[in-house]
Amino acid sequence: MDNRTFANQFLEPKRTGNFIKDLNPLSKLNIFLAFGLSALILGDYRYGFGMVVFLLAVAVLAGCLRSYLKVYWKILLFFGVFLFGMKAAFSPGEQILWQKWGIHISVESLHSALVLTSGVLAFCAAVIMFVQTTEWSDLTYALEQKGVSHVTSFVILSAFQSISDLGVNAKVIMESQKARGIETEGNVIRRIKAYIPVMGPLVLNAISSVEEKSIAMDARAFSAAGTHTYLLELPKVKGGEKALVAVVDILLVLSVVWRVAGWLILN
Amino acid sequence: MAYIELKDVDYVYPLAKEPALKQVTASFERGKFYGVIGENAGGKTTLCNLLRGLIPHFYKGKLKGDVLIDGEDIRTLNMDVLSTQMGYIFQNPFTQISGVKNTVFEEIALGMENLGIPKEEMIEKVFSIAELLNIEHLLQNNPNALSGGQRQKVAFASVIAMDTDTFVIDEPTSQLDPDGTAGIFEIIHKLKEQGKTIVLVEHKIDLLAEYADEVLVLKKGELLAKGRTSEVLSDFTLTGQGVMIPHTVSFYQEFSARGHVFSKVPITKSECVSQLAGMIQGKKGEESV
Ligand SMILES: Nc1ncnc2c1ncn2[C@@H]1O[C@H](COP(=O)(O)OP(=O)(O)O)[C@@H](O)[C@H]1O
Ligand SMILES: [Mg+2]
Repeated sequence: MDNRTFANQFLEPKRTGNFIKDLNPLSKLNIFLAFGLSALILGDYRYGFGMVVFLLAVAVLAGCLRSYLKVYWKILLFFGVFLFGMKAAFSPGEQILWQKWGIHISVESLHSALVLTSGVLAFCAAVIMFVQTTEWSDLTYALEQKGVSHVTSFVILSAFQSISDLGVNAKVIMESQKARGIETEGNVIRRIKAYIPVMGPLVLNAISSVEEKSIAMDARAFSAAGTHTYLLELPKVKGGEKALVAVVDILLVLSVVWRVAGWLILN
Repeated sequence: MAYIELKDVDYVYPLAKEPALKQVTASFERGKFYGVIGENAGGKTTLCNLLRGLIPHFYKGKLKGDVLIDGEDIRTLNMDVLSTQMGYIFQNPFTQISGVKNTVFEEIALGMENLGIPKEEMIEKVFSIAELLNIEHLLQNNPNALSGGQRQKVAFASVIAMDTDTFVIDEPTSQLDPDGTAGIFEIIHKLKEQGKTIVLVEHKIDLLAEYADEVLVLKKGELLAKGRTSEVLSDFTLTGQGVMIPHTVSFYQEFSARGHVFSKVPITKSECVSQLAGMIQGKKGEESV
């Protein structure tokens, strides 16, 4: 693309052509949070796992399945296996299926493990979907449109930036550790051992980079008084999108009502 | 009243033992171009940090003496206002990239967004600066994935685009080739013609000789000299104190050692040429008599 065509894109609100990605970041935040929370609130593992599958389909529709799975499988492994195992092994229950060395697996513990794991997995899926379909700068733009101060939005933006920098720096440091002949791969213990000596510099680095960044932003008159302009703008939120958010929120409220009502009836 | 006034300024960075500036007294006028030179760790960057208010607002440390900008104490000056009046190009271009923009185009526009420049104007400005610096081919690139020299140009462009009245510029050409350096100097020269106040730290002395109104020499935190460029750069007592002399001055030294006398020490090429031309003319005149 030549530079003129590229620059002319800024004259129109930013659109990717993908319905999900083009939702306003705040709508997206609202919708995905509602999805995730509803799974936690309902406490029904069929709903929870259903949500995980549903969000997988959303990832396909948003065209980000690959990047989504790249993050999600770690969560799946950690919570899916670890959390499930812990809960199943140590939750109290009457109908014992298997026990040894202080571990009691029961029908009840299996059930509560399923409920917890499905809820957490669904919630994480929703959060990751939001992150995968939203650029932080778009989110802060949307927040500023809602009246959030420029400085606050910068803090949010640079916090996430620092987190991702942390990841990059960690990788760089680990590469150099490897170059010095230090084992950085293999089992978990070995990996943790390799990380411990670099944690200090990594964190210090992150702190000083936050300081450097605030100086850099000051050099761009970041907190100048007066109205700021935006090179890149997002489309105005349309009625249909507002309706969608409203429906999702109503469903979330209904799930709370459902849960509370169920609890009241049982008691 | 001077624009910026430093009186008996001492400054020690937090945790540092030695002061980075010692008893510095100097004043700066609006619309003038100041060159800052001196050996490494002389305090050049510290002086920039001070003029721009990063000392004491970001770097706490111990600051003594008076620093006045338009008569107001730097300690109580509003940094947000200062940031709209004084552009600062850091010595390290890596720290100047915001990290929050996806393309060089947006990176250059960031400062203008904060100043509330209308969108169309922003776009044209980015184009014109990119052309001056020869970085049009980078506009769509990610600013975090540039070479040192490229970053230096982008950092420079990002601050220049804000069109502030004053620019503090710390070694803007350290990572550039001669072409890139010439481009930067051309822009700085244009800024000067527009009446901007400029404080420039730069080792390329021949370029400073050409453009600067005054030169400051710092050594180990002390201000060794401050004065008109022609005087400071032809002051031979300063050679060996970390001051490099312009080529024309070393030419002058050798020339006068052989018994040829210039009416004054030339510090720019054109001065040198016109004096030489005058001598040759004179010789011809003598011969023809
Ligand atoms: N952030 C800092 N903290 C502590 N000491 C510093 C810091 N920055 C610079 N110094 C010290 O201050 C002195 C002057 O440094 P600087 O102004 O960067 O010199 P120059 O730019 O002339 O090379 C040096 O001795 C340097 O080590
Ligand atoms: Mg320096």
